[in-house]
Amino acid sequence: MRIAWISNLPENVRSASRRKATDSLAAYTTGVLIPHLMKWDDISIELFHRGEAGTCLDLPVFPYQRLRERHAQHPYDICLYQVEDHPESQWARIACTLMPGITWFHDLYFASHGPEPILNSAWQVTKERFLNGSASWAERGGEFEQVAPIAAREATFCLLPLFSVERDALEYRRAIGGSLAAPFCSEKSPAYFLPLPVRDELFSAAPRDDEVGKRLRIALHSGARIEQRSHQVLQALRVVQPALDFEVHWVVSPDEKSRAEALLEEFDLREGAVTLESELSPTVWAAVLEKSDVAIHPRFYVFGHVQPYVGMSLARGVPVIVTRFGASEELPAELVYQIEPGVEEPKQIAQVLTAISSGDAPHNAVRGQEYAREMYHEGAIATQLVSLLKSTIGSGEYQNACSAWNAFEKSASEDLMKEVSEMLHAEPTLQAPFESEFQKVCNEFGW
Amino acid sequence: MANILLLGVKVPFTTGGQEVLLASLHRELSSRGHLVDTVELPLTVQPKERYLIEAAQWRSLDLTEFGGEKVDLVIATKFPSYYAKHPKKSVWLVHQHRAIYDLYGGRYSDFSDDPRDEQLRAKLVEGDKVVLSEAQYVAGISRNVIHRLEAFNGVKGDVLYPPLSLAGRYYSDTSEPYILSVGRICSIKRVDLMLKALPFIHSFVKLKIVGKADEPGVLDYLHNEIDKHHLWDRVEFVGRVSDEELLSLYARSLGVYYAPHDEDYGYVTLEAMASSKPVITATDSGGVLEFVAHEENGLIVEPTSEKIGLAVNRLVEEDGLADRLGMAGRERLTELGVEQSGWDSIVDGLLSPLQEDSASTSKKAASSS
Repeated sequence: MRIAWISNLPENVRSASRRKATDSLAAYTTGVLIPHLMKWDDISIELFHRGEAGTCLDLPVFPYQRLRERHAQHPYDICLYQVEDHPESQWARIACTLMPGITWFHDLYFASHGPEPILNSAWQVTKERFLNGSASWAERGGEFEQVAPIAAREATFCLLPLFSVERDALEYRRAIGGSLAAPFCSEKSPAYFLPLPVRDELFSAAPRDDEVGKRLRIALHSGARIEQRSHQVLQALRVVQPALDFEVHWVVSPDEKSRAEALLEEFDLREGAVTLESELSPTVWAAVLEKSDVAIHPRFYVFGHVQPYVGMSLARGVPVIVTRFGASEELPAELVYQIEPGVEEPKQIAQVLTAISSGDAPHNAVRGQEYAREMYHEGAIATQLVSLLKSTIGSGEYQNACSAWNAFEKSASEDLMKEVSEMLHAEPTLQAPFESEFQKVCNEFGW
Repeated sequence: MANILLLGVKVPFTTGGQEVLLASLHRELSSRGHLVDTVELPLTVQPKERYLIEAAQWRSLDLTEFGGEKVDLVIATKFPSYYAKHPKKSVWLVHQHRAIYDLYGGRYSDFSDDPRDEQLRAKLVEGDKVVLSEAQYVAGISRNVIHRLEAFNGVKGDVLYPPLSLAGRYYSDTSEPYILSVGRICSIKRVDLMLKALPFIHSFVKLKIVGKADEPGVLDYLHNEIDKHHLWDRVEFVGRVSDEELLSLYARSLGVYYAPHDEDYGYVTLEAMASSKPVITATDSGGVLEFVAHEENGLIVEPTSEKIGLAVNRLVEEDGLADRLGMAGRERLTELGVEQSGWDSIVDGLLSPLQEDSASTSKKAASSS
């Protein structure tokens, strides 16, 4: 199986050194899964990204603009794209619709309509044309209205969508209803849920020291904006402060550092009790977990991500506190402390922290780890992904969708050449004998 | 001595680095006794589907002989001139059609996600690969250009930095409180960043802009920004100027702003250095960064107006900084060999297909004797 893996990458392509910490989920997932995939003898992978050619994870890397050319030379069985709502991933939103394949969505809703070339995308007209060969192409230079910044365009122009958030898969079925491949599928709108992987080393880390009464080391993963609920956690810390001895490592993204500092000032928690880690990445979170007794993930999104961070905390075996909202609602209630958002939030968090510190809180690290192993372990996710890719390639439905897309591209090419030919005819100075010369050149280059 | 045709592309009513390069190369080859002429065809950038016609026009030209004079070598420079077919072809690449390569997927590309655009892109990429691979010698005007060529087309080439056309005539004079911006005025050159930096800069510092707008709406946009920030007295559009005026503007400037997005090469950088003036550029300015080193001969900052403004203020506030950076730039220029003496290696490279020819003729002669 020959795979084109189109994604942000975890390493510098030229020097093979680790990149500056990134919170790109696609880069993280690539770094975790590729070494597993390479263990399969019948799999070969080429990586594509926005950047220069070279190597990464011992595999060849090419700029994504060369995907089509490399596919023409030596076809891939499958193109796998990763798309997320991240500034580093804007290019992938363009790339994934040009040669549709399997797209693994880490987000379904986006902060914007995308980079400039797709702001005025005629994708809905193109879709009509794909489904009905007699429909017209989009008007050249026309203006096209976009729907809300949901990945409707990206999820429509893929042959099979995967989602790393279960809710996104459901939302996709509700809001988008299917991809271009729908007419070729027996199932109405096939979509798969495949969670983000968690590295094995987190499961094998030394068990937490459960000594009661010592200083409670808290890992906090959240931003400073109101929906991230950090203010509720800080309020809770103020409540418990005189009685409970604690230290907090608060992991925030660099662009939120100043707002986080302002919040600490506001809650008067600056003096040594809270340390800001202003680099948000799974690597940083793993390091913070190493020195923590409890993990708090208060941020809530309706359709966004709490992974791989919550999975990492469960794998580490520490008590996990989440806000009961969105994706966190899907977590088993017996494995995590779910806090109801609202006026009681700080009080509930304070109670849980106090109970954990005194040893009164029920916590079964082993069950949490077992759950995480089953759901998120890197080996398990890699196996599921390979199985999915192989079954997809082997399915007649997928092959039929690919054939239909290839035919569609051929018609686009023919219609482009018709447009060019009409231009030629519209310019008297360029008509015969140049027309025959033009044809010669087209033949030479296969245009 | 050889008969050589230089192949250029002309967007009517605009002037840029390619025109300077062609004129300089013409002069240098002629001065070495070659018979040289230039063939230029107009390039229409809209509608983009026309690129196929324009590439085909170059391809269909018969450039082997004119009026009984055999053409020994053609030297192509820019998309689509390198589509020309000739038994001896050198390419001194100014740039490819960047909208289908490095600019693709960004604000500076007009290729959409319409499958017809994607097919057009695929055809041009495939065509580029064929016609560039058939050249006997390929070089680029900067490392940046050659990196792109290798990354996107798998074609390798040498780097031949074009020497300054006015080499030997640049000078430095007492600085006056203005920043100089030189070049075509279009969005990718990002003159707007400098203009919008003025509110962050000491109010006695002005901006002089040399060059002509070659993109619809860009001047309106700049004038709107001037109105919005009340900069009427601080910005001067100088337009196109004579060589003497340009040398004088460089010589008297406080520093030179040149921060295009991923520039191919940028004569402006080297002209500033030749005039012993510091260059303010951006971290994503491409070829400019092959010459400018932060805090050594210029200031490299994030491409935001605020950062650019702060950099200009440093030139004003830090005693001797502008002079120190400017002098270091002058020294760097000498090391680079992009002054007049640099032409010998360029001519050697571009004419190497002819030397192969004469070498094989000598070989044949030797083997037959």
